[in-house]
Amino acid sequence: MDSFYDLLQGFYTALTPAKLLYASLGVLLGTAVGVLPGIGPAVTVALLLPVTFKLDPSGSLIMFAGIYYGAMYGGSTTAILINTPGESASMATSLEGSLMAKSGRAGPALATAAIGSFIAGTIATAGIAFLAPWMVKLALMFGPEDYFALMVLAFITVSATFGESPLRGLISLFLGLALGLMGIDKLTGQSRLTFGLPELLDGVEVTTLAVGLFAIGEALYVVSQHRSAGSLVPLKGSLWMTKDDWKRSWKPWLRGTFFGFPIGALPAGGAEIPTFLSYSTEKKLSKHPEEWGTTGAIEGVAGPEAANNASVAGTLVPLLSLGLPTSATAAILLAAFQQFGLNPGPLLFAENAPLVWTLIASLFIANVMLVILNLPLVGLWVQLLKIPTPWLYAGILMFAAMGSIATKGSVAELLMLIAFGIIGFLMRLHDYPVAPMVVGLILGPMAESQLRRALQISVGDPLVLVQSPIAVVFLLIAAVALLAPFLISTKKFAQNED
Amino acid sequence: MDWAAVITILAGFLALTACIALGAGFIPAMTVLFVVTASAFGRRAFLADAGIGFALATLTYLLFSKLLALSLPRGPLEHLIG
Repeated sequence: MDSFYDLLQGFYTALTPAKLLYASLGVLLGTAVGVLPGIGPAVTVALLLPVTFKLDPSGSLIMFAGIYYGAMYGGSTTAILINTPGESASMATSLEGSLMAKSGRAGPALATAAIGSFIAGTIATAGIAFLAPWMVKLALMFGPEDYFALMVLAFITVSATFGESPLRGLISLFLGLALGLMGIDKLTGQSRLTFGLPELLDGVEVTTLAVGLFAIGEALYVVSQHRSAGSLVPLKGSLWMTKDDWKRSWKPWLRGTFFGFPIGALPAGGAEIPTFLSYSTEKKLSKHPEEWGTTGAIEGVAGPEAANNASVAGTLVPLLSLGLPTSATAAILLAAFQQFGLNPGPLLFAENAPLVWTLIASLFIANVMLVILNLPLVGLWVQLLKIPTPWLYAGILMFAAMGSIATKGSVAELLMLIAFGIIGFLMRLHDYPVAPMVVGLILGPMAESQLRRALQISVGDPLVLVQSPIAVVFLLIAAVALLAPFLISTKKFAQNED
Repeated sequence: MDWAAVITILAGFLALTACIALGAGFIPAMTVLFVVTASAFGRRAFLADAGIGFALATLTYLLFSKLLALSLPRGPLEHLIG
């Protein structure tokens, strides 16, 4: 029950008026940016990273918890009201959600999404509090070769297993790994892949890459296709859920949570699988099959939305206990930690446990804030969606540039941002996933240092990598995960969509 | 596929970079980016957009440099507002 007292201590730190202000500011900012079409949680967190630069670590992490949950909720608002999911994980939500909005039930759809997210987030955060210390104990038994094998597994699952095309995912991953090599080698002090340019000695910032690939790439894509941001369905009718809506929502919320959390907590990444699992389960179990695909069924919003939130919270388990980011958003969060010189993982739990527990407590608080602030403010967020497309994207690009200027302020950084924007645009145009590239950039150097540590201990004998039983198990799972998409068609999920 | 619009936005970013490199400061640089991007999306009311962009950039500058104490590139204009 140790972790229970630690958690109480965390609440004690997080529940001061100043910290509560940071949390609510984070929720508001996160929702405001996350609600913009085409902006998913990963970019929202990357764009808002500069806001937290001058805060102390605990204040900044609390604000981050708010931004994180706000961004997720903002994304589902967009998915429901204008049917443009900001990321693949809200695709399932937008299927039934946008239909509900069209038939005048946008209010209940948004409400069930918010309350479902709250319930899923609360259960999943409790899951983190119980699971993370246990994972840390497990992680303390890992040698460097086991870590390396675990990271190989994460590379494979993030890039190859759950995407449309394993090959494209791997290409994207390796682009990220190559970028991760740039800069000064920590072990020998040699500069690598810098082409003699002193500006590249520091390597590539994860936020620059993420903002370039996601935000600028998306803006270039939208302008090249002459698409407008999609048409907004006006909010009409009651904003509240009826008794019947509640009755139909609570089971999908819980089922969604139990799909989402375990899949997110495995170092596997990807919230798409649990959201679509939840979607097809609810469709099968529904007592109102006539509403699916026509007027929109509330179960189809409640389930996937809960699954999405639970799996995103689940990704914090490997992030906090192993230092392993398994999604683009987790990669950015890891960058946020590193900005304070903190390295998530078993050591952080050992050395700076109060901070970790403060973060977990703030996740609970941010979740409550989200429901309190966003249910009444939904009208305001809808106003944001009415901004004309040219101004919307001009503003988004301003904030994208702002992030780089505030981080480094160098011309080289801005040029890199432009280059990543072009790469992101081309990847988007040719259907390459960009998230593996972001994960590759941050996880690559970590995997490299574990690999070199293992080889140093074994004095250069590569067999050390397969001599530990833990490492062998991870590598075998990785092999299966790499081959699985070729053996089982992932198209099954796509077919269930309608 | 509208390549002209894509190139316009990229030109806007390069103009922003040039503004920063030449010491014109944060607010003018952001205003340029705003106007050029809006024009790539089909806006033709350049003066109105410049006004909006300028207001937004000034607001952002004040918020981030005063309230959050971030160091943003300063040109003549930024020195004027302190």
